[in-house]
Amino acid sequence: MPLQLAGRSIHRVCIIDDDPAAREAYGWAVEDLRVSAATEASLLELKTPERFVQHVRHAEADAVLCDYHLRMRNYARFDGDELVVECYKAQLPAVLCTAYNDWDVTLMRSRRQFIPVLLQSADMNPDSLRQGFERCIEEFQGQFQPSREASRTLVRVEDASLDDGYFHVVVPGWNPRVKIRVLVDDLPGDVRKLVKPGNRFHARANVGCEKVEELYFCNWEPS
Amino acid sequence: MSTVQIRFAPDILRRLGEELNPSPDKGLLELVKNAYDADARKCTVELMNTDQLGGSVRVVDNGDGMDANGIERGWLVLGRSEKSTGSPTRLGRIPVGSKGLGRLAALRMGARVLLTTRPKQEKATQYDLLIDWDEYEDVEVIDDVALTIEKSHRASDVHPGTQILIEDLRTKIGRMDVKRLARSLILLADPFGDDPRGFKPTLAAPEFSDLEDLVRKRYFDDAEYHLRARVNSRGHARASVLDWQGKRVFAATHDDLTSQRQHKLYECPATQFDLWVFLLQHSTFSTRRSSIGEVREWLQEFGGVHLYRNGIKVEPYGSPGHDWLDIDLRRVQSPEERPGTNTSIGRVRFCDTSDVLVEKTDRSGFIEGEAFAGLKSFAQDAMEWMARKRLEEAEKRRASERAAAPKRARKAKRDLDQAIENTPKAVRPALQAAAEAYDRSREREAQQLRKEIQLYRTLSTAGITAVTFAHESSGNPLKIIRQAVMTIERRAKEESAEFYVKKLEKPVASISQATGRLAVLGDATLKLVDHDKRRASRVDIHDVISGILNTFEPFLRGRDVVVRMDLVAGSPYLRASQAAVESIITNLINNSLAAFERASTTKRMLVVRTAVNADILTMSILDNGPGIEGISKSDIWLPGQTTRRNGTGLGLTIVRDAVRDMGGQVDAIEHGALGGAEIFVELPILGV
Repeated sequence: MPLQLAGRSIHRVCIIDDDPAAREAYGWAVEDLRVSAATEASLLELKTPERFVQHVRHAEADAVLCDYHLRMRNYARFDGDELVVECYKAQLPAVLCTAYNDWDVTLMRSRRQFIPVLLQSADMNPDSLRQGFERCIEEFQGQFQPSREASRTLVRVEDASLDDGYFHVVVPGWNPRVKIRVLVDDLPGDVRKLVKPGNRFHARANVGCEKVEELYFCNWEPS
Repeated sequence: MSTVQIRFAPDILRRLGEELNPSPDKGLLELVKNAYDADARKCTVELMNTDQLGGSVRVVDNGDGMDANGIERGWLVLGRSEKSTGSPTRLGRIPVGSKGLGRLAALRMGARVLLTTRPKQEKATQYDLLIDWDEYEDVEVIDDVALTIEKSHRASDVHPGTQILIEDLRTKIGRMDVKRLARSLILLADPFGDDPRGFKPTLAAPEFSDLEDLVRKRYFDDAEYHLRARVNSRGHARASVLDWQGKRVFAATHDDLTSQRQHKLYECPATQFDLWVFLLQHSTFSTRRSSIGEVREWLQEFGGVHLYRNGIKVEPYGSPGHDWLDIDLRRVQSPEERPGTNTSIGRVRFCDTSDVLVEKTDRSGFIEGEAFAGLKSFAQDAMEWMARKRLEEAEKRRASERAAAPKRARKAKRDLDQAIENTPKAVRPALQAAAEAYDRSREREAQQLRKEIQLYRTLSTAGITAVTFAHESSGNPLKIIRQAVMTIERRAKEESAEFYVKKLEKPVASISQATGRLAVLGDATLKLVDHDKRRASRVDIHDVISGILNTFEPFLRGRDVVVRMDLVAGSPYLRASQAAVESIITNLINNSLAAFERASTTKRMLVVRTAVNADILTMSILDNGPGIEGISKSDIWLPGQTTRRNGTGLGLTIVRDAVRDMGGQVDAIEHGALGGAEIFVELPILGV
């Protein structure tokens, strides 16, 4: 009996992790959802994350549970966030699950728009996984949680010592007291040149979210 | 059936002209480009009383002029690219390809335009055309105004060419516009090239002659490096770097240049990129003929990488504020051995006869398609490669300097001994004794520093190793344990909730708690090395204290340490790196934990206290351990001094150094209020 979520059936979940023991461990949660688990021993043969989507379809999996760090052990040529983005674009429900830290969140921010669910690995269980897949499917159907909907908002540059390739911004419309780290490379060229403390930009951001790791930006424009 | 036509209201002229090309210099530049297309060698722009309303502009060239057909079917036609109809001109130039919109903007700067042109093909003829824009105010469509081309006789000594006189200007041309125009005209036809037969546009204004003098100075020979990069029409690139004597110092193949982009071919026309990089240091210029000030002024005016298509500069690339190759940004991100737009000048040249790159209608650069992206990547990759090579060279230089340092010291010693030998015999022994004493103290200091460096290196390596594997430890094994425990809990409860509570709940809870403690190690290590924390910024001391105690909580609990925070009201803050403040608190806590362990203290207590007096924050860390024993209070700060077997003896040294760096001081009481050691840190703060 497949899992029925928001009008879709999930028969099989593909589990992506560079550690075989972790794949097996995630498989227990998937089994407890009463769906079958498929695992991939290596993704090295797939040169790009785009190829992964075709591969998964071929393996007849209809959802993906994916770890973030896939390159450490020579498992894949890309990281989990890139893979989840491609799944999202192909309307394949995918949950990113990892023990992330602040820096990982910064690296993922430019892709968060297309990553509906980021789970701490300690929080991954059959319930959170089911909710994660459900949220993905709802977004494919155009139903966004308030925490995921983006609107045009003002973004102020707080500090811009660019030596390390990033700077901090504050989004007054979200939380004027929290500084958010943004990679310089995430900005379009015309905005990048204007990064100076005190400068303001407009961007679309999901200001309805609660946690800084959920926040994403897109459509940057000079103010 | 009737035949009708689309017709345009006169308002379209304003929209296409003034609104699409808002600055006067851009429009006038288009008229100069028309002169280039007409094979002129000279073109002069004259501004007459343009600093007020009602002034005039005259553009005169010595090109091939136009016949009546050229005026009617070319000059007066708006929106058609010359390029689409034009093959190379008589002089082999490729038309710049104006769509006539910039020209329209220029012509509409005044109330009237008088065109006078003498075609090369018709030696005795001159054509005149007057456009009075006021006539367009009262008509319904543009075609309702009839324009007349007057034909007249021209004397045999009058050369071919074209003059455009724009009268009764509607706006003033400001000083900045004139300067921009002067700069654009000078740079229009690659003034850095060596073609004496090239196109020479001129502006009759003092701003122009000053700049022209400056551009003629050509300080290329003073450049420290000259990057030459070429990509051919198949997309294969190569590059070399020449030193100031023109000798090749580095060379790159296509693979070297594209090592970071999977060795892909560049999808752009065949292009030449030259970049001259200057080291504006007094030591470099001490032996040169030019002064550093002259070169700096020249670069200030003309620096940046200019883009030339078919011999003509494409705006705005390389103009002030248009650092299209992100030279300054890359320098900011990684400053060592990279030029900035104020320390380099360059040009990217390519021939594009088949319109691979298309300019935007408003002349604000190319439409950024694949060809432009390929061109940009090529130039950026070449600069990246040069930066890498220069960095490698700098590393080698530093290594050889390190190797040369002892040699220099030996030579200095010999010189000193010689100088002492040359002194009168009576004072010599005293001088020798003083020099030897100095040597001994220097040697002791050097030895101490070497030991310290060795310790720091060892600890750094330990730190780096911990960070490298932190993901591994906090990631996979813990993740698997947690998943396994949760699965056991879930499945056992499903089988029999009663059995689970009775037999499994406690051991499962124990595993979960132990896992939590294990996770701290990875978390704490990764948090300590966060980039952000090494940058100077506002640091809230209380937040840092709470953060560290929170992170260490499972460890402290595991060691039965009761922690109390006794913090002053408010949020004292200072400007420092968070890493430095964290290293002070972490090392002091570690120190207390080591003391508890050494003395087997049973009821362990740790207090973190803050107090503020004027602009000084005092932070004390007290414990009820054994106190400072077996070592003098003044020695605890020295590197390598420890009472713990296998201890590094560096923790308190790091505390002392970090506190000093922040302008504070540190002290200790052997047995403080709780009986154990009490360490005081005083830091100047900015506010509470």
